[in-house]
Amino acid sequence: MSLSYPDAGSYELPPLKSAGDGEIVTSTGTVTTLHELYAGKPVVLSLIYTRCADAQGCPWTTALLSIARKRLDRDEPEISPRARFITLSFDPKHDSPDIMRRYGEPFAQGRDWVFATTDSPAALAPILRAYGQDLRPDPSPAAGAGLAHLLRVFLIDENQFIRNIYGASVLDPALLVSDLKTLVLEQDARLTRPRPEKGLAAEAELSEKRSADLTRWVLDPPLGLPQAPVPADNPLTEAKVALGRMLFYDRRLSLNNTMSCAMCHIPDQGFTNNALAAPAGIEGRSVRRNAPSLYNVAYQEHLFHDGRESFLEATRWERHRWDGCSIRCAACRTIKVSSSGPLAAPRAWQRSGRRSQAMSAR
Amino acid sequence: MKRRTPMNFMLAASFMVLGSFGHGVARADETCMSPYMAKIVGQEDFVYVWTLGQEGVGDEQDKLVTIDVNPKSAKHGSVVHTVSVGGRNEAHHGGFTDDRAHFWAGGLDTSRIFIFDVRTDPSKPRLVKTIEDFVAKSGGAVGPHTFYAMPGRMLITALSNHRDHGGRTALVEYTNEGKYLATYWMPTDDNLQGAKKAGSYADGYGYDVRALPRRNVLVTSSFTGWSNYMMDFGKLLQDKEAMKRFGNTVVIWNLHARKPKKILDIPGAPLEIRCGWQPNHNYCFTSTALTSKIWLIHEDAQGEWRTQAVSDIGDPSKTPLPVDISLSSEDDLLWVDSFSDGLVRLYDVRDPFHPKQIYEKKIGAQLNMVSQSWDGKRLYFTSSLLANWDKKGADNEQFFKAFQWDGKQLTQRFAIDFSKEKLGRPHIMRFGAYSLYAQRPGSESMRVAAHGPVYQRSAR
Repeated sequence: MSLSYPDAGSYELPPLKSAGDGEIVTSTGTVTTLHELYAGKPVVLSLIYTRCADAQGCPWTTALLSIARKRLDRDEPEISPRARFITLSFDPKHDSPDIMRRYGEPFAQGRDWVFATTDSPAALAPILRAYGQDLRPDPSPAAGAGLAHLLRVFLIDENQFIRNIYGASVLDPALLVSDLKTLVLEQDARLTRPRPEKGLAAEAELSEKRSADLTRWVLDPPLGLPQAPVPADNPLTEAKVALGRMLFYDRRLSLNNTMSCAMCHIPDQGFTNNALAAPAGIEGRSVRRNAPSLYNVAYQEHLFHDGRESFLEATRWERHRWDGCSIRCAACRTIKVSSSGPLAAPRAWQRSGRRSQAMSAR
Repeated sequence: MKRRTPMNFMLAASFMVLGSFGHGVARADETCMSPYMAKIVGQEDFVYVWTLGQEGVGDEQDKLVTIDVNPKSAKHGSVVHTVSVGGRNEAHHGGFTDDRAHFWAGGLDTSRIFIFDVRTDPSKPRLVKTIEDFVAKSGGAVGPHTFYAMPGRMLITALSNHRDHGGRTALVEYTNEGKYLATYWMPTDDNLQGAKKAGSYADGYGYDVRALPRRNVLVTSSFTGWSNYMMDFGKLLQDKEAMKRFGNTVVIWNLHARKPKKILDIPGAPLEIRCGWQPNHNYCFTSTALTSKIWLIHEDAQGEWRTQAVSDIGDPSKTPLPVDISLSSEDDLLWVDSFSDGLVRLYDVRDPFHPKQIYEKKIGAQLNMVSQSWDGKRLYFTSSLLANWDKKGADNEQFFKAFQWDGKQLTQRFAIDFSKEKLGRPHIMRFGAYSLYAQRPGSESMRVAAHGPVYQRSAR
């Protein structure tokens, strides 16, 4: 049963981080750096040591890379010369340049595959740190004086960004070839670095998209609605509309930085909550009444189901329990927050009487 | 297509060599976590318990509790360390990075992610970073749930979304360093994203995720959104609209491309997913919370993924509410915890299409998570489901319990009363060991191995 891998170029490889640098010595004895070796090519970097006795570890990795290298030559003759393989030892005490030469020769066979080591543990240390390669003495008797390590192979693009990391169980020559081809295709298409798509709008986007409409609705009400009342001491400005919008979605306006107005007065559901009879308040404490819709709230003289308040500023706040406030915002005379029941107000506001300054969008 | 290639020979040779190690090959993580992760295949030293703070209990904050579980330790059976995170977040699940240097733990309410260093001193996890902007960075995913290690990165399932706080949600990916990478929204009827809708639902809900790298497959399950999981359970059951809003799907993804391929029906909130470890076991189990069944998600001979209900769990009409499952490393036994009746049931799943219940035991008045050591001999249980779903009064037992499984019965080793110890509501458990980090190089009782080669069947 064949595996269904995606076609090269049909998927994204988001950049994980910059690929680190460090001084190394190639198997021919040349002193150079990793970045010089990367040389604007897509690179496959593997970290190994030649004494590795774990057949599932380094020897396995090098054999898989060898299959990938051969496949590139055979199936992707255009791609193959543009990709470089680098195998770097993390055992400089044992793996001299000459040992790396003898280790690498059967695999490289004249292909673009550099086998290298470092001059000393001190030269190796920054490379291990940069690539997050952990080493420790392997306690199992069969390993001798081996090094236990989590096997890692890195795919690095021409701009020296790590684009994929392979562990032992995901190192498949077919995938490696596909990923290299994806990088080359991307390079050729001069694609800009892929950016993650955003499925649902974040708060900033929501507020940007709609604040202009709100202002217009107040200045030029839809057919059938009168001019919305604007408090004489709090005239309408674009900035206030924008601020009111931000506050409406701001989770920080609650004790645990979690509840925003929009969580119960859901814009997509008519500024109420169609999914629940009574919405959940802070830490899930249920409220007794449903969230009233905020449609046309600018025209309302009285707030809450029982009409007990007329302004946000008039409401009282209590520790862990407040049952409502209104934000005097520009677009609407008041935006109500909460139904009656325990919701969430920041402690600072509860302690002091300053909350009305904080909540008034001036 | 199967061909005799050098790969096959190498594979055979590698198994022979490994046999000589005398440690065996770790075919399962000790708690059925990511196959990409370093593993403890011997005695674990610690169990880390991500614990939800409870009003009126201790410091009332969420905390990571470290319990010494090594019988050879002088502190065996006791809490050796706690680290509080400064508030309550609806602590729920967590997981290690692939190198097990860090433990990531999420808050379902506040969407905060807490990253603990467990490498520097495995007995004293240290909070080193808090991600506060998960919702904004991800573009609106809410409620980080499963933390699943991929090489060098963390794949996170969310449960809800910023727009309506319902069940539509996403997978979100970060690097091990805590850098946001990408968001993959679950396919919905509005946007199938190229996936095939095989049944009646494409609800876009999420819960758990597991990878089968050897099949290039990711599997996700589905639960419910913030407005439901934060609600009082009694009220929720009375709210007809709210009860309609539970997930009824699992999604098969193309692992490498992170693209959804097929949406399959599993009605009644399929929660935890556990996939087979044997190289030819191309299937996963899940259990449904509301309909109380074990379901098999399997790849048929033609390479099509299918679902099938394979067993009831207890009497579904009594709503036992199965919440967690744990598959043994040999894929032969499946432990199933159910919340309402406080029972753990054991199923023989050697024939995955016909699970047979072979054992059950009452663990407590309420029961949630179960984790087992990789050899299957030690099992650990915790009690809490969600802050607002836990039982009330005397039935609100909050405990961590350690048991020994001898092949016939569970025997309790020790228990810790999380209420009496003023800790809170214990939820997910993950194992720690000195041997992972060369802390005690003399120890030969443990060995860490990356999961073995699994690509032998790909056509070459």
